Amino acid sequence: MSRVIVITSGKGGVGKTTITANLGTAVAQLGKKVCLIDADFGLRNLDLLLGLEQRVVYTIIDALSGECTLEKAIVKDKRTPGLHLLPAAQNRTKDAITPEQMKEVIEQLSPNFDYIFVDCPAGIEMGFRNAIVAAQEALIVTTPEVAAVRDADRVVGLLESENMKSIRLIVNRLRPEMVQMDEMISVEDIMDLLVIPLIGIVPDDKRIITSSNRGEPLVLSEEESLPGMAIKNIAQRLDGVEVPYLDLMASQDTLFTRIRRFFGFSGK
Amino acid sequence: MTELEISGEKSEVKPLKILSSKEQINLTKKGKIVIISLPPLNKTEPNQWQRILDDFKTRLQKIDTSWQLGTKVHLQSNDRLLDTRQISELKTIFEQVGLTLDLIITRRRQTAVAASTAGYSVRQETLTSTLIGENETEQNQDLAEPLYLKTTIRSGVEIYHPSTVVVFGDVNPGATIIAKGDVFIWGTLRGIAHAGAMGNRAALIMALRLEPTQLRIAELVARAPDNPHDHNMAEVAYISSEGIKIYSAFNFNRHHDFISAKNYWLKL
Repeated sequence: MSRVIVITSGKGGVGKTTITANLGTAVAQLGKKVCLIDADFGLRNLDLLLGLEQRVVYTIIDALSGECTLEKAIVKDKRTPGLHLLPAAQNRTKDAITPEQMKEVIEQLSPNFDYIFVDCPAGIEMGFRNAIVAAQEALIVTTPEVAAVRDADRVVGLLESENMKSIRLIVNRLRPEMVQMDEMISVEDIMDLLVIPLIGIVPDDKRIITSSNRGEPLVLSEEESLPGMAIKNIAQRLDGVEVPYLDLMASQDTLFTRIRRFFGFSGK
Repeated sequence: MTELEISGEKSEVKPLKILSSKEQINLTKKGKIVIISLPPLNKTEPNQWQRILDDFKTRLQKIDTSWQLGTKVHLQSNDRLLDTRQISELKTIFEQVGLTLDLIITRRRQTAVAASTAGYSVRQETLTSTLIGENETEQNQDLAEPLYLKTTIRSGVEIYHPSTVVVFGDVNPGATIIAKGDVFIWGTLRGIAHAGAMGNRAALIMALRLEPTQLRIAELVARAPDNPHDHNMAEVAYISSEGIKIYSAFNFNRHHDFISAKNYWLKL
């Protein structure tokens, strides 16, 4: 049986799909069998971020309508052993599939994988309900912006009323220098409002954009990057390993702030 | 103790539409039976059924469900048409909290047919008996018990209750609490609270930390000060001779008295 984890946010554009692609890759790198399901029907792009667009032949809709078997619709990522993708259809709308059908698909996949990640579409309509129906765990992605945190709060409420067993938080696109200047909502403030456990903080980085455009998840890159490390840490924490949090403030430290912290003053 | 005045408008708002628990699923415990009544059909609201189900699930999570396993439910559907699918959806929700659907009370013949096909006992009410029943519920609402919610109230959640509401947790921005009586928040109020929603000017809003988006008491509205004071002190909002004011909750009742003739709280 696999762990079914939905990655959701409420608000669009906070980096759900990027996190899904990178986290899926990172978990597969730990030697697990992973299947990513793109539940964003009509607007699929998980295959783009993974660089698998050209290899998509069938989609989840074809499998459901019996045009092909489910196994045939699944695309294997050759760069990362163990990583699989079940693509969404681009030509259908979000109502093309019912929650019952989604549940059926995930139940069929479940025996063959260790982890199933569902990339949830933005919003809280039908597509959201499809994405969460079979999941036991949820990862909420938010950015340090008022609107994103507000929508995350709404989604947490909906997930709680659906009896989601575990709901954890990923804060994406944090800019430590802005937090330090008190110009950005801090992780503490977000957690104070959402009251759910944190599983990772991913700092903002230009390389995320270039890696997305190239279709190569950042965690695959040889070059070490802070966001890549942060996501690898999230993968380990998901797997039950305790990993200390990266000191994102470190690069912002001047000698003066370090001395201040050393003597027990706050960094602000 | 200084009196803190809320800045900004004290403009009168038009009385809100009748906000009672009629709009949500209502639960009453009568002896060993739980009576659950459904709100009337609102044709202007698309997808009302889904919203009602969501509200209901949220509420079941948050209220004290200290009934015995297998407690019988009498479902009062009133004028609402229910099909077998909807009945089975409700049944599933009931079973998750240890309730057994026993009897369906309806005024619609189709609902009665659907319910009996699904194998439940049905009581079809005639128009006369419902008129009496309506009066009864009206009276019951005046004497309704306070609603005790032991959770964080998140964005998007609206709580209507025909009596006092007590929240053990935070009320987040985007959440609304509308009570016919007082609103007590044992936590931080960041959303909207409306006390005395049916016109009771003696109603109070009390919170351990008062940082509301908006406060409403009876027909008055106040918005929070632009520069929130930073102190850890329980506060109470009430109607004074000059509109809504905030005062330290400590010893409020010793320093203030509600003058029925003038319809506001007077500082002694």
